[in-house]
Amino acid sequence: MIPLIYILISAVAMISIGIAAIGIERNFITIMLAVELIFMASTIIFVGFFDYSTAPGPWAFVGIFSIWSVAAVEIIALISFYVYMKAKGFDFDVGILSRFKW
Amino acid sequence: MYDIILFVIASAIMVLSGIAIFYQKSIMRAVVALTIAFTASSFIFFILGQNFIALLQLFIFVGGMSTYLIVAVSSEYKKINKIEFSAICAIALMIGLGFLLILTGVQFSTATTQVSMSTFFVDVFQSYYPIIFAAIIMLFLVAMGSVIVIRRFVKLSS
Repeated sequence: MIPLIYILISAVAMISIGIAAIGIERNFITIMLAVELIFMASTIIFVGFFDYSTAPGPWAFVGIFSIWSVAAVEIIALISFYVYMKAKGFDFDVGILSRFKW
Repeated sequence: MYDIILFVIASAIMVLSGIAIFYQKSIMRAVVALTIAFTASSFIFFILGQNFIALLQLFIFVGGMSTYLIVAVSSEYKKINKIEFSAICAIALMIGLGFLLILTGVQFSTATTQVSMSTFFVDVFQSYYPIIFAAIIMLFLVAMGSVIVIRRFVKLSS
């Protein structure tokens, strides 16, 4: 059985990478990819604690399914936004996006 | 001991590809790195003994979302069709290998009291099916809206 600390270290490493990328990156798409990494790390933590739970309930599966749904919706919404912005000829720099008005 | 070594290798691949996402100049290559990270996380679930979750992760994220991202992002770059083709082939290969591993029923986890999430699926589906259906319908509506928006703006820009 994998020790829980190993699972937590790998998940925390992914979350750290994602948070650092959100703070450093200026490209909107890569920021959204960083958010995907954080979602992925959260599922790893979820499954790790599920493994070590003595009496896990069916809500564990619902929780993972919810995380997946939000992550998938984020990707799909990201693609729509990407195509929209490309069609409008805008740059993906966050500094420029913050001045963008609908 | 054997499963810990495999877990460390898979975690290292996942973390390195997660870092590699932000060192790519091309968004296309960043998406391919994210796909590798998704595949490594799926392999981690498999090592943890959750075959069902590993399979779903492969199908939803690697098979569905990453291919969707690659096709949508690569439509902007007309000169890299070979990269797009090779990326999709690599994803198909990853899914095939993962599926083969899961079908062979190889268990790296040695715990005897471990509970598989797949055993909960029947209970969940019976008890919480409105939530699952709501999530599926939400995904479907967002995907359809995305396709409509993409078609509209691609027409506008062309």
